Amino acid sequence: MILGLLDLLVANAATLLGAHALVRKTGGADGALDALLFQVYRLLLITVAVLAAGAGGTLTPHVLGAAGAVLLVILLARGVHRTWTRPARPEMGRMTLVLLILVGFRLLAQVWLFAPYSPDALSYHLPKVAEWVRAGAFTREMGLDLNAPLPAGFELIETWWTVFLHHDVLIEMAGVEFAVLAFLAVRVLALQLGLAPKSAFLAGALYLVTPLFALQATSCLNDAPVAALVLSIAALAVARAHPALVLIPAGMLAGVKASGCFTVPAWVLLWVLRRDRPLLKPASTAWAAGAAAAAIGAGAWWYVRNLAWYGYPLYPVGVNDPIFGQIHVQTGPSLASLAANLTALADVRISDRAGGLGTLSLETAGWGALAFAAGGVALVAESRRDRDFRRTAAAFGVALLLVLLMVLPDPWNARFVLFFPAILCVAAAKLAETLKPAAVVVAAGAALAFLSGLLPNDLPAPAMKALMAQPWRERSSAPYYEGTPPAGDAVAVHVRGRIPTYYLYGADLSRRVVYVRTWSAAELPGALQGAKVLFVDKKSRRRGDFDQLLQDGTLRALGGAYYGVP
Amino acid sequence: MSELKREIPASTAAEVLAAVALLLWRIWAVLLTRNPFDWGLLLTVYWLFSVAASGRKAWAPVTSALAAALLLVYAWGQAPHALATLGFAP
Repeated sequence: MILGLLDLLVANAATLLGAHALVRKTGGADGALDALLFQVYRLLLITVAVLAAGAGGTLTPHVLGAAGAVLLVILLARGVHRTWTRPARPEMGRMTLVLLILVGFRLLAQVWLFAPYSPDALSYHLPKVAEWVRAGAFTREMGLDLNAPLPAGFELIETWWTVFLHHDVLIEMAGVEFAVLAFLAVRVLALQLGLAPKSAFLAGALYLVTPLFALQATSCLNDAPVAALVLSIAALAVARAHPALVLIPAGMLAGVKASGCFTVPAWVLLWVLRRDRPLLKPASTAWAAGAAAAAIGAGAWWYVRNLAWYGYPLYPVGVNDPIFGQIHVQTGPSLASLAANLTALADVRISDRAGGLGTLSLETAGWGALAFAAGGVALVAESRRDRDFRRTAAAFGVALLLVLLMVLPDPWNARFVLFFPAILCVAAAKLAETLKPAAVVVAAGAALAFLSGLLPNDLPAPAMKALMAQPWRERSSAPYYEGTPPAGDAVAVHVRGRIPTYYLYGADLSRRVVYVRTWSAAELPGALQGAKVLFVDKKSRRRGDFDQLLQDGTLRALGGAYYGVP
Repeated sequence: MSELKREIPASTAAEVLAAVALLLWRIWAVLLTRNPFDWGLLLTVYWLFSVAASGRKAWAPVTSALAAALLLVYAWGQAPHALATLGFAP
C-alpha cells in the first residue's frame, strides 16, 4: 500500500501541474475563472488518464504512477512549476473562512469514515469500478444491474481514487473533487453578477452546505458531480467565455449523466443574453479547442462503447429487459411530467417537510434552510434590483423547467435539479452584503443547512454510526444489507433486480465476484467459475426452482442470502 | 386609462401581472395542500409587496422578517426528521 500511496501522490502531482500548464495556455484573464478552469482541467486529465489506461489494459497503480512521473518530469523540465505563483491571500470574511474550514473538515471526515452505502451506488455505479480495478482494465462485466452500462464519467474519478491503494477508503474523494469544482463555479457566478469578492466566497461556501449536495458529495452517486459541471457551464456562460472553454465541462457532463445536458439550452440563452459583454478569449484557442475535443471525446466514449457492445448508444434507455423491464427514464419531453414535477417540487419538496434528508432526495428537494428562507427572499429582491441577476436567475429557471420537462415524475427526481440552489445561494450572499439583519438569517440558515448535511438518512442512525466505528481496512456496509460473505476468495451472485452487491468485493476489492446469469441446475456449477459461495437475493429465493436446488443438494444454506456449493 | 398608462411603467405592469399569475397558481395549490405557509405563496405576496414598497422604509424590515419567518417554517417541518436521522428522536 505504501508504494501505491507513492504512485497516488506522484500521479496527483502530475495532474495538478498539468492542470496549471493548461490554465496558462488557455486562461490568464481572471483569477477566479482560472481557478475554476484549473479544477476543470484536473478532472479532465484524470478522466483521460483513467480512460486511456482502462482501454489500454494498463489501469494499475505503477503504470499510472510511472506515467505521472514522466509527465511531471516533462513539465518540470519545461519550467512550468516556476510559473506557479503563490496564490494571493483570499479576500473572504471570517465567518466564511470558519464555514469553509468546517465544510472541509466534514467532507474529509466523511471520506474517511464512510464506506459506500447508497443502494444505487452499491447496485450499479460501483461494481464496475471494482471490476476495472481488479482487472487493471475496462471489463465487459459490470454486474447484473440493467443500469450498469450507463455513462460512467464519475466512476472514472472514483477509479482514480481507488486504483492506487486497491482499496476504497478514499473513494469518496471523487465527490470532494466535484465539491471543489462547484464551490469555484458558484464563486465565479457570484463575481460575474457583481458581488464583492468576500460575498462571492460566501456564496460558494453557502452552496457547499446545501444538504443534498453535501450528502451526495460523499455518497458515490453522480448527481452532485452533475450539478458541479452544470454550474461550471453556467459560470463560464455568465463570464462569456469562449465556446471552446464552455465545451470542456459540457463534454465531461455528457459522460457523467445525460440529465445535466437538458440544461444546456438555458446556458446558451444566457451566453447570448450577455452578448453586450466582451468575449473572454483563451490565451491559445488551439489549446482550448484541444481540451474541448478531449472532453467531448471522453463524454462520447460511453455512447460509442454502447453502440459497439449493444448496437444502441443510449442503451439501456428504452430497452425492454426481461428482468428489469424498462429502465426508469423518460425518453423525450412531456408537459404532463413538467406539470407533475413542478407541482411536487413547489407544493411539498421545496420545504423538505415530507421526510429526512438522504442522498436520493426522496420526496424532498434537499435545498435546505438557507435556500428556502434567505435564498427565496433574496431571489425576489435581487431579481427586482439587478437586470444581470434577473437574466441569470431566469436562465436557472429555464434550466430547472427543462429538466423537469424531461424526467419522469417520481419521488427522487429533485436531485436532478441540484444545480438550482446555487442561484439562491448567490442571492442570499448578495442580500447579506446589503442588508445586515438578513445576514443574521443567512448565518442561521447556513448553520441549519450544515447540520442537515452531517448524516444521510439512507441507513438508520445506529447503522451509520456502527459503519463509521469499523476499522478502516475492513469498513463496509455489508452488515447493513445481507451481511459479510462467508470466508473465501470468490462469491457468485444471482440476483434479479436492483440489489446492492458492491460490498461483496470487500473494502480492498480482494474478493472475486462472479455474476451468474443462468439458473438451471445443469448449468449452475459451470457458471459459478469455481466460487464456493452463492449470493441469492430474496426474489430469486422465492422461486420454485430454487427450492429444487436446495432439495437436490446443489446448494446448501449458509445463512441469510448466502448458499454453499459442494 | 391613458393616465394609468402614463403613471405605471410597462415593466412594472408586466411584473405585477406575472406576480399575480403566480399568486393565483399558489392560491390554487394552497387550497389543495392546505398549507398556509406555502413557499411560493409567501414569496409571491412578498414580490407584490416589494413592487408596492419599493424604496420605502418598510421594505428592509419586512424582507428580513420574512426570511426569518421562512427559516422557522423550514425548521418546523424538517427538524423532527433531522433529529431522527441524527438519532435523537424516538
